[in-house]
Amino acid sequence: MRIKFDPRSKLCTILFASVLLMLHLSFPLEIFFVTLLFFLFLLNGDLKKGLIYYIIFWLLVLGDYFILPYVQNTWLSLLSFLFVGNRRLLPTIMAASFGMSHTKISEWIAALKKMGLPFAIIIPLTVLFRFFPTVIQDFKSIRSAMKYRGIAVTTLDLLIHPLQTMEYIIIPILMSAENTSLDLSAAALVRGIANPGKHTSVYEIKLRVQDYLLISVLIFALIGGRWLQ
Amino acid sequence: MIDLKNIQFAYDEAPILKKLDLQVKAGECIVLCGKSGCGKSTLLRILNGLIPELYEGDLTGAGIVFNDDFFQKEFYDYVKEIGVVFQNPKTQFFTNDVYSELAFSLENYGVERQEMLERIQEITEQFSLTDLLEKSMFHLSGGQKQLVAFASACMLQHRLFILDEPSSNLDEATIGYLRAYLLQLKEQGMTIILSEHRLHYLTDVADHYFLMEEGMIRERYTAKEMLAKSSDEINQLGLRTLVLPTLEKMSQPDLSLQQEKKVVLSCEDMTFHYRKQKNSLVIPSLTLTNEYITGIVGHNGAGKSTFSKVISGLLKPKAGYLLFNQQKITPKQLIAESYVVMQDVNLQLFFETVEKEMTVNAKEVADFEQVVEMLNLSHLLERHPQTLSGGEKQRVAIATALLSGKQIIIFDEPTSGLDLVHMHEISETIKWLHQKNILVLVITHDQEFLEKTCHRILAFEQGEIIDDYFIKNK
Amino acid sequence: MKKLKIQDYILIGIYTAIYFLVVCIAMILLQFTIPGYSSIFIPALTALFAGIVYLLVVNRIPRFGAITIMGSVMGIFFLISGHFPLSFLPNIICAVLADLLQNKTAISMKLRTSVSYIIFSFGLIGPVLPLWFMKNAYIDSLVARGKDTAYIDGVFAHITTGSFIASFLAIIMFSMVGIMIGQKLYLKHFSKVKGKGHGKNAHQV
Repeated sequence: MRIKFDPRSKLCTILFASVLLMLHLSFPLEIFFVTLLFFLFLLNGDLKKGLIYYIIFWLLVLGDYFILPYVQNTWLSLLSFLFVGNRRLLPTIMAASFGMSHTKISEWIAALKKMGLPFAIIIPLTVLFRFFPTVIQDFKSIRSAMKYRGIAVTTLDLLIHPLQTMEYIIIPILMSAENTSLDLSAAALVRGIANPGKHTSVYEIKLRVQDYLLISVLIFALIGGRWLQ
Repeated sequence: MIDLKNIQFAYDEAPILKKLDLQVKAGECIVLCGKSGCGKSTLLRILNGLIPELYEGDLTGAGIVFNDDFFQKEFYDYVKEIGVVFQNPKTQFFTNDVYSELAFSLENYGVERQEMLERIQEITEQFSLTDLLEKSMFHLSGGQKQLVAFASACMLQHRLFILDEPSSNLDEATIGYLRAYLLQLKEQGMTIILSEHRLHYLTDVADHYFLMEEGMIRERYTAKEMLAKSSDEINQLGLRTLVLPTLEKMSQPDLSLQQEKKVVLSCEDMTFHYRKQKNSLVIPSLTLTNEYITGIVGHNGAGKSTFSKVISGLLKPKAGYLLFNQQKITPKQLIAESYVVMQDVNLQLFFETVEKEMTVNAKEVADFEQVVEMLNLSHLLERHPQTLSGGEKQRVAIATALLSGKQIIIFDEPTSGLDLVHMHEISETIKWLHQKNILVLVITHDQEFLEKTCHRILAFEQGEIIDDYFIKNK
Repeated sequence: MKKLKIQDYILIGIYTAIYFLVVCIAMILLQFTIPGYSSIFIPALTALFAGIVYLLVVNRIPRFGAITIMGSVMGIFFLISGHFPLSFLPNIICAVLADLLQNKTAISMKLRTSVSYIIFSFGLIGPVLPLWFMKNAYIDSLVARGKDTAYIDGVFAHITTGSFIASFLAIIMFSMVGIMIGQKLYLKHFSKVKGKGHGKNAHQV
């Protein structure tokens, strides 16, 4: 069983987690929020992923608990700082991971369109998601080509001559960027992307009961939590 | 349906199309053929409206398409009537998954959701693509991408289809699908205009062949007239074969005397697999020598490119070992002896002039003059490699390999999108490399090219060599 | 002033993807070289490498809006892909400022591009910000458990303020060097290459 959430309520969750990072937060409340996120993973059908995050959270809590008595030592206090710091960062990571799973990129884009983001942002964003995997692929091909040529072969070379190596990597990519851009433009234009009339979406972007529930829980938790403190 | 007169076009000074007339009746299938640079692609860009919408230039002429004045059209209304397929499967999808890709044009023209779902189902059934529907575009092979591109060009109810060398990057099996798709469209009474170098799959699709030369339509042939021509006549027109050659097997030819210096690469009990995958390559025993130019064939995903990466030292085999001239060799030593001319050759040129590209890391500097001459690069030495044409880039890449003393050169699909002249050119270059004692391997699905170039064929299927034979070389 | 067309939006998207590749490479390099909380130098190292990408955007699409769109798209991408959820604000704000300076003022071209690039590079300070909140959270957690914080507070205030200043100075310096390298690369590789289509609007640095 899996409950599908609308990208917009997922976005709320991500924003909510970012706000959490900025606020003073008591430990019980923190536990409450992380547990809430864990349940979202459950509902979303990602038991395993949720459990991993949840276990990491408790390990960080445990680690900090054991180190705490020794914080007068500078190195241990740094470690303890990293434990607490990363623990506070965890909800944002969890929220984003929740946001990306079981929601296709195209659904995100459809939702952002529906939220009224202008065309000027939607198109480049679509291209970014579309083109980034290609860039990574090109990057790998270039690294192979460099190995055949015997230039900047190892990671060490990369560290010693970072600027030179970056030039080798980025110039071929930038050189073909303009042609790729023309090809993509052609593909988009002949299929009517420039049509000034109304565009529709193949995805049904609609807030359902679970979305309203999630958003109200988040808002109440935030207000309630502030009030309790 | 189309009646255009006096079409002229130029990007800058040099005219690309000169006073060209084009008449096409509804329901016809027209094949534009001719050498690279004859103006086929430009004509198609004018017909699909991308000139002048995307590619700026100087376009004049008069005429009618779909009963409307072609030169007064509104671009986005006009393209609603036409389905367009381009050459490169990698750059003609715009979203990340098949489902959205099919819906894309419908979305842009504001089709209601319910209607979209019905249309997607109808088209995927018609083209037998239902299995791909939920996939990410990035998980498809090049051929599958091209089929999806074809299907997505059919989503709206079009009357005219324009295809620009749709088969360039496809293997024979996928070309078979492409042909079947075209026949379906024809049966539905669609008008089709396509440009193509590989003509063999179009013999029962095409009604007319328009031969283009220097920006004009030089000759118009009916399908019958075209098919009556002998293969020599076809070649004289600068066109590629109409009849796909079948590779003629033969017993091992003795070419060993030609070679002054032997290069032998062999592998024993070699396996390779990517992380978390089962064996994607299993080679019990194989010996490759520079006596023969070896062609590597097989479907997409059959393990050809993995094989080429392993035997060039880029990937380390998980088990077994490689021998180079009877000596055990590590991948690291092997990569110093080998070079792959990649399909996207842009990504392997790094420097600002051709000369620098060739001389950096060069070991065989003494050969510079000879290599430059043989590969016809002397007039290009000062140019930036990235400004060259595809074929010139390929030759620069080969030159860098030769000058750094590589003994094994592997070509990955060197002929995609090439016309007859350029295919011959690369074939001659490969034969020259062979004479220079280089061990040459060619990954390709171009049978015409295989027959002209290779002596030995390795056929791959699911990571194994299922056939290994010699062919008659013409 | 000409409006941006569909093909310009697509080109911006492509350059943004390449810029993001540079960010990723910078991130990986830093993980190799500086262990611990290395992400505070991501903006600086990216600035060092990405000058050429910025220059191409400025040259191929020399109109107001291009840089703003690039920053905003980066911000939204970071936001929903969960890299640094906080970073979308600095991304957008810095991009708008850089865009205004680049396309709405009349200072000499070279100076304008350099300064706007420095501002644009500050858009990536997203990954630095969590450090600030992590520090607060840490002090909170110590207070909650009745620890004496005077000493700790002192140490961390020093570390974090210090790293903020170091990070900011590095961004400014590396941006300046980065744009200079970018100009060199532009002359070396792109002045000879004539762009098609889009390139019609290009002009020299």
